[in-house]
Amino acid sequence: MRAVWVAILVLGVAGELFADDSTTPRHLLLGVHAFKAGRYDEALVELRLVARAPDAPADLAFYLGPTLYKLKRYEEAAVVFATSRAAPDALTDFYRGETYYQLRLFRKARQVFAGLRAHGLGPALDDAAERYVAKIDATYRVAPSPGALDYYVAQGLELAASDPVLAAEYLDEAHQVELLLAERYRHAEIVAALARAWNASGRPRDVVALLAGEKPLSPDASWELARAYAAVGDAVHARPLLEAIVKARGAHQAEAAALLARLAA
Amino acid sequence: MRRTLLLAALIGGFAGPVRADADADPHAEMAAALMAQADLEPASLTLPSTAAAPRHAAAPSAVKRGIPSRATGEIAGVAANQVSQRAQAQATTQAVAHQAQAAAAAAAGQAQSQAAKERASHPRPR
Repeated sequence: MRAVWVAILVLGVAGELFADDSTTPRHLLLGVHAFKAGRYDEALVELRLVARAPDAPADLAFYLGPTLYKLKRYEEAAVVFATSRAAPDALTDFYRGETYYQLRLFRKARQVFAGLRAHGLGPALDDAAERYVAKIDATYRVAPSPGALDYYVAQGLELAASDPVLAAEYLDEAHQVELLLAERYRHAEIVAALARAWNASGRPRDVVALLAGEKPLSPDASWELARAYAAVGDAVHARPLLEAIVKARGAHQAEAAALLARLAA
Repeated sequence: MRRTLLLAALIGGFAGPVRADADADPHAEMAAALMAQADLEPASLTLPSTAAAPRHAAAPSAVKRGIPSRATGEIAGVAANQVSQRAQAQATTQAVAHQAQAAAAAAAGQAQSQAAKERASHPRPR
């Protein structure tokens, strides 16, 4: 009889422990162990389960981004890093920089690696970050050709409808490359497309920072700036832009009128 | 009494590894793995030019990655064929090879990932 009671007690404790087997921490740990063993495809399966869970950790990009990078799924990795809302983390950023580098978004990679040098990741990674920066700087010692910029713009425009987050990454690279050219090249087109991609991916504050000082504003850029102001609740700046768009009877007239009505309501 | 102890030891031994996992720190373990597996040497760098180039540096082929699955081969073949046809119109032989290779690797990765998902959807033996 005593054996039965002990068994019930032990089974109860064990049952509680095994209940954890299907929970998020368990999948996270399985994912980490698979990553450590170099079984990145298995790690991805586990981390996807974690990502779907309501109690997924805020720093999921720390696990998922590098896993996608190791699987050479660079575009997906870039989206994971770009959409992460976790506090900046140096190791995550190192893999973000590597992802940008593989996608040939070299200015963005440089920005990340240069920022990392101040974090002190240890001699190995600090030196590596230094090497990435040096390599990119060596290439950009000569001003880039318009053809390189054309490439980034083309990729960004191609992705704009299907994946605005990734499109924004390419267009942001185009914007940074354009700043290195001796003369402006496709500038208005790039900033308007970048603003559109950022608005579409929920980054209106970046749109305001990009366009607030931009003169002159193209009609498309003006519309994107008005949308961004409206999205951040700045009706004072949104309204005159929208009124000008309505008055000009341009491409965004109907949308601007509708947004004006919403702001007035 | 001996039976009680045996039973407790058996169940306790079974539950032990789970408790050990519960004590683990995934963040610390992942940080160590990320440090150890980071690519410390930047690959050679060439600026892209025009829209014909692939979106990232050439990826290893499905064959090199050791993926023998028939489905993988079929998917990769279809993807490579589609890319090949599109690229034919662009008439840039070198770009065709790169794009087909990248598409094949991407398709292979997706198939591999799908297979892993299917494996994972079956209950693990304990």
